Amino acid sequence: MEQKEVESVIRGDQTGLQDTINILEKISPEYYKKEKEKIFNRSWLSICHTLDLPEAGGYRVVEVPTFKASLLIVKDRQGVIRGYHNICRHRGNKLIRSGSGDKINFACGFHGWVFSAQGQLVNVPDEAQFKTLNKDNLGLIPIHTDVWEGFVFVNFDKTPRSTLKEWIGQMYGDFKDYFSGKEKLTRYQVEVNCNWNMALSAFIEGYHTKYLHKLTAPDYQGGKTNKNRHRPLIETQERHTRYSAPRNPDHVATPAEIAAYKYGKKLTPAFDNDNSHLPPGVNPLRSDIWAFDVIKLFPNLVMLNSNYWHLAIWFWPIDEVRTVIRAERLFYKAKNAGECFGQAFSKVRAREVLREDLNTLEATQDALMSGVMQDIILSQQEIPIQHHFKVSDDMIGAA
Amino acid sequence: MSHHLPPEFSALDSYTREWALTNEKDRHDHLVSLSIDQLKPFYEAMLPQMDAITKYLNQFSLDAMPADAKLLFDMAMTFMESAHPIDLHWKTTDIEDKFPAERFQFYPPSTV
Repeated sequence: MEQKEVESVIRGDQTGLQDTINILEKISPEYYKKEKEKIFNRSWLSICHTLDLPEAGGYRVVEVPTFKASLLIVKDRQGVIRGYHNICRHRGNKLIRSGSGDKINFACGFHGWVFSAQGQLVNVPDEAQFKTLNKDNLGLIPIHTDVWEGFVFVNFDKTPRSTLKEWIGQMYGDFKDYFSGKEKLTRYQVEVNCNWNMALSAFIEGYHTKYLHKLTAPDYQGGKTNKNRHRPLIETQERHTRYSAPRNPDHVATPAEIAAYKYGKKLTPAFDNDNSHLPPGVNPLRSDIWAFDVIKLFPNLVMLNSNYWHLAIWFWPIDEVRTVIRAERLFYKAKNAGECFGQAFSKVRAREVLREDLNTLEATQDALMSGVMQDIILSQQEIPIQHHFKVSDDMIGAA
Repeated sequence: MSHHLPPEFSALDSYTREWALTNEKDRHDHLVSLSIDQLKPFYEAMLPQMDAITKYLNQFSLDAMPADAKLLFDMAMTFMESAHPIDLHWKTTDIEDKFPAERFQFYPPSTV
C-alpha cells in the first residue's frame, strides 16, 4: 500500500506572509540602505561563540563588515564579557590587529596607550606632555554586548530597543546546556558577490536538498515515506523561524561511512535519534524522523542544530551585492580516535554540501541582475524565506 | 621525523609521507590536487584496515599517543576526510559544481 507523504506541521502566525516576493526591490541599493539603518543597526547581532574566548579570560577581535567595524570582545578574570570598538582613543589606531589571546590589558602598538578589560584608559606614556587630556573621558568606546547560550551578541543602536532576552523571544529558555560541552572543529569564510538576503535564503529551506546535493549527500534526508523531504516542523515566531529537517530512515551507508561511525556517534549523513538528553529547543516536535533543526535568528544567523553537532552560518553584507559568509561547526568532544574519525568524516561531508550551497549564490545574483524577472515565488516549504522578508519589511516600515 | 607506523600496520608505511597530514586544510588541498586514480590506491589500502586501526588507536588517550600511533592517527584522519569522492562514485576528487576551492578560506581550527 502506498504510504502517505509526511505533511509538515506548520506553527506560528503566518498572517501577512507573501509567497511572491519582488526580489529586485530586495537586492536594490535603496533597500539595502534601509536594511543597514533599520535592521542591522537595530538588531541584536550574534558575532561569535563564547568558546572563542579563553576560559580564564582574554579577548577576541571580530570584524563586522556591514559597519566596517572591528570589535574587541573581552572576558575579564571574573568571566564578565564586554564589547568595545577596537580603536585607540589617542589617534584612532586599530588597537588589536586580529585574532584572540589571554591578555586583558591592551596596549596600543602606536604610542603605548593602555586600556583595561573594563575599558578604562589606564596608562598614557609621557602623559604630562598633553595639555588637556582627561583619562576618565578616554576609555574604549563600548558597544552593547550580551550573551545567550554560548553566543555573544552586540547591538549597534545607541539605546537598544529591546533586551537580548526579548529579542530572542520564545526560544530564550529552551537551549540549556545544548551548546556547552562542545568544541569547535571547523571555521570557514568566503566572500560572495551576492546580496545577503539571497545568500541567506539558500540556507533556510530544505526543498533544494534533493536536487542540489544529489552528488554530495544523495540520501541523507527523505526516504520512501517522505520523497519530497517535507520538513516535519516549520515554525514562524515573532522575528525568527525554525524548521526540523527529516532524516532518511532508508539511508544506505557507504563503505567509509560504516568505518567512520562504527565506534562513535552517527553525525551526517546518518543521524542518531536519541533525543533523551536534548533540551526542548532541539527537535522541538520530538520527531522520530529528525536529522537536525535549522533556526534562522533574525536577521543574519542561520544555525543547524543536530544531536551531537551545531553549525552556525553568519551572513554579513558588505553592500547590496557583496556578502561575507562565516561558517563554524561545533561537535561533542571526542574521547578517542574512533570518535575523531566520525567527526572528520562528517565535517568534510558537510563542507562539500556547504560548497554546493555557496555555488548557487553568484549564479542567482548574476541572473537576476539582468532584470528580466522581478518576482520569485515560494512554496510552503520555503515559509522561512517568506517570513524573513516580512520581518524585514516590518522593521524597515517602523519609525 | 619517523615515517614508521606501529609494527602491526607496517604494510601501510609507504603511504605516510603523502597521507599523514595534520589538518583539514592540508588534507583538502592535497585531495583536490589529485585525480581519482591517484586517490584510489590509498583508499583501497586503508578501508579494510580501518576497523583494526580504530581498535588499536582507541586504547590511547588522544593527548598521549606515541609518535608511531599519532602518525597512524593522522593518516586515518586523512582517509576519513578523503574517502567521499570514491564512496560517492565521483569521477574526480572535486566536483565542478561547487564553490571554487581557491576562494574557500579555512581558518583555525581548520588549519591547525
